[in-house]
Amino acid sequence: MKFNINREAILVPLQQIVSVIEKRQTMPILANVLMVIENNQLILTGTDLEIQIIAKINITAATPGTITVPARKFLDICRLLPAGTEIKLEQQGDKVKILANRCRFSLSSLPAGNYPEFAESELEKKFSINAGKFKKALDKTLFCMANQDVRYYLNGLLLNISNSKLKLVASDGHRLSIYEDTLDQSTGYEARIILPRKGVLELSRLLDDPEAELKVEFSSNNIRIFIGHLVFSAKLVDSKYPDFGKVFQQELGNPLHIQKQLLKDALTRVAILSNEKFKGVTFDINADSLKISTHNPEHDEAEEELFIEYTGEPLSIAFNAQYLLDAVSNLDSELAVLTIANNASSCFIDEPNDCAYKFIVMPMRL
Amino acid sequence: MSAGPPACIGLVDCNNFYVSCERVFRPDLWAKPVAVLSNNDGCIVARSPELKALGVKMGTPVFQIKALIQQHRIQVLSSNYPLYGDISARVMALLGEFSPNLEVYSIDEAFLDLTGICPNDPVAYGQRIRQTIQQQTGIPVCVGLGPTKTLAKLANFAAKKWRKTGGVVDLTDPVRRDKLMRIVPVGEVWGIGSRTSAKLNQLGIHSVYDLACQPASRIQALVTINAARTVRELNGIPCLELEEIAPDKQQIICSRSFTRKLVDVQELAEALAAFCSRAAEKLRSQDSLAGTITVFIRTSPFSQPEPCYQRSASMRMTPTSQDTRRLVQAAHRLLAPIFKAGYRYQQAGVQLSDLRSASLPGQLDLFTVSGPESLHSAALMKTLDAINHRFPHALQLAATGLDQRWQVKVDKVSSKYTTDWAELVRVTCG
Repeated sequence: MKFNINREAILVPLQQIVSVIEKRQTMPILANVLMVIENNQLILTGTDLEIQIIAKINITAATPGTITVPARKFLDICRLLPAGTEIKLEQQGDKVKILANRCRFSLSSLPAGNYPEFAESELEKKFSINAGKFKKALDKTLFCMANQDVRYYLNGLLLNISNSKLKLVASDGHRLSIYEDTLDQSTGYEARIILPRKGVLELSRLLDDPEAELKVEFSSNNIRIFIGHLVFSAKLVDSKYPDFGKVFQQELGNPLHIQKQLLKDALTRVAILSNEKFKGVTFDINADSLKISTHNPEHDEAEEELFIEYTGEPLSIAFNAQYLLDAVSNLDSELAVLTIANNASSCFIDEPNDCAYKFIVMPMRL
Repeated sequence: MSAGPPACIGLVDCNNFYVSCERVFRPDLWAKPVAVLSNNDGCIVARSPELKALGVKMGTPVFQIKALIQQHRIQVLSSNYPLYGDISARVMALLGEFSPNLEVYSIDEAFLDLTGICPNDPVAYGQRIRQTIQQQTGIPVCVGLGPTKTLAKLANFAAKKWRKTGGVVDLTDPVRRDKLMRIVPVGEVWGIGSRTSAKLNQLGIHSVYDLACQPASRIQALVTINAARTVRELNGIPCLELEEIAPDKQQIICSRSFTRKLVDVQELAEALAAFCSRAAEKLRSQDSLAGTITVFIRTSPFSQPEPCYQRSASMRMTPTSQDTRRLVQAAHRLLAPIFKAGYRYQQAGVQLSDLRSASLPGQLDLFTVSGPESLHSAALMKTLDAINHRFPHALQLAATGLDQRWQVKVDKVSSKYTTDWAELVRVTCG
């Protein structure tokens, strides 16, 4: 195998691939990037066996072949070369020689034949979506995904397609985020799949071009998304997403309107003296006034009062300040609307105008 | 701000506490070699001075010195924790009269803040403490005095080691302090364990004096910040405060060796249920919730050529709990996959960790139907504890088994002289 390529053509795809490659792995070859030259294309592949990213780059002047090289070292070499450098790469025995300007590198390699195949079943369901729209949907939900929860189905994101309706839901049990939008086409099917946490985070990083059109294909086990010259694949979480519908069946109190920035600043200040682990803050809500207070095991106390628009009954409720901050920070509007369910069992956070998303934060027991 | 009186910390430590407790009610044990054994009568956990003189080390398995026991008529006793606990409480109550600020550090030792209490003659005050405890409880104690907790500990070590001190040593005087520190190996310092001490030896630090002369910053860089604190404390600069309120336990372990080896999963499950019940009781007594539960089972590592096996398994409690029933349920779920038939199990245990205070606001969960712990459960557990407090072992889960034949063996246990009406000492006159 032999090819010439400009640093700028290979750097970005290589970076995108390396981000899925785990720093520590069980199989040495998983630390490598697979390089295939075929039909005047350089095809780069990286995987952790759960997610795979393939990048295709058009090249001229190449001799076909396949090889794998240590991904991070190869990336660092390309990254640290001056912009615009022509890179010559050639396989010599079990080494890969890289020449650029007056630099020479000889990199160890492993034969491509041992590179694990990413098993995919037939992907019968398809839809397409604008990348900008999909990224917004992901970004409004992914921060609520659980991380290493024993309820493994929460360590991911629910993608629900119902004909032309799209719904994304993420929750760690303490808060939930839901995003609803419509597709430009009617798919004619109903499907609920759970994307794994790491895959969601990677995917959101890959969607940097809001104009791009994504082709999504999935089955009950796998998903594959075509993003320009990239193909992103992931194994799905094999489980049913828990029922969160009950949260929406509660009677809601009067909404409370507050400037987003004022609330964020106050929460951040008061939370300094909250219990470091649980971050509990208490809201005492009265007509047109919100008192946020907290204390910690060292008996430090903090309190701040804010003016709000509220006409309902006075009430007291406690929250993890971090959860509220995460939710409020993800609002696009300047004004936050908090609506607390009548028995103080949950808090809905959204914008004054209709918006595609809604956040729910569960309170803490006082 | 004007400087107050110089700090003075006292450490009162009971001598051979378990043996001393036994001797209070058994004067016949005086001046004889006495050993108190660990749970299940396995190892020696307390030795009288006479036994120490025979060269018996702490933690020696009792079967290794069978011959010695016969030869020197060593009195061997099972441990009697109700007795030790009660005597300890009496000692601590008495100590409370000598200082308003007291940290009960363990069952047999306590730190007292004596700052400003006995500025003129701390040694005489220490002697008064010694005499009072001896007279009113029958327990001999030693008293160490110093400007910091670490120095008080060191003083106590000296008071115990050298009879001539009369059981009280004061290390307020730097000259005296240096003299002692030069002859005590660094491993004897409070907070310096065997590993740290090995590391310090490598650095050429052998005596306590060597350590005290080191710049704290060097020790912090080379060892740990705790060792650096020790250096400062040895130089009379207090870094460790008196902890008057015992912090809640971070984990609760309940584990026992069985009298006979268990082969049946049902029996193991019963034992685990009993351990869970006990652990849950402790958990509730400090009003905590368990976030994680771990179960372990093991065969005896000493019964070769029998095959060995040990395994443990953990799970998160979502939501956190202090309900015996939920913990037992979890323990049983954990046991099933790790139990392997065909082995003879010698020990099992339950560990509750990731503990958090139940009084703290707890996060409610979206997917849990009835909230973290229903009120019903809390009330039931409260009632259970109240009944069992009044009538010990009156109410148990059926899951703990009816005969509990795996119970620990206590062959040579003394009476509950102070905590059981039936076993009070009778005195007859006439």
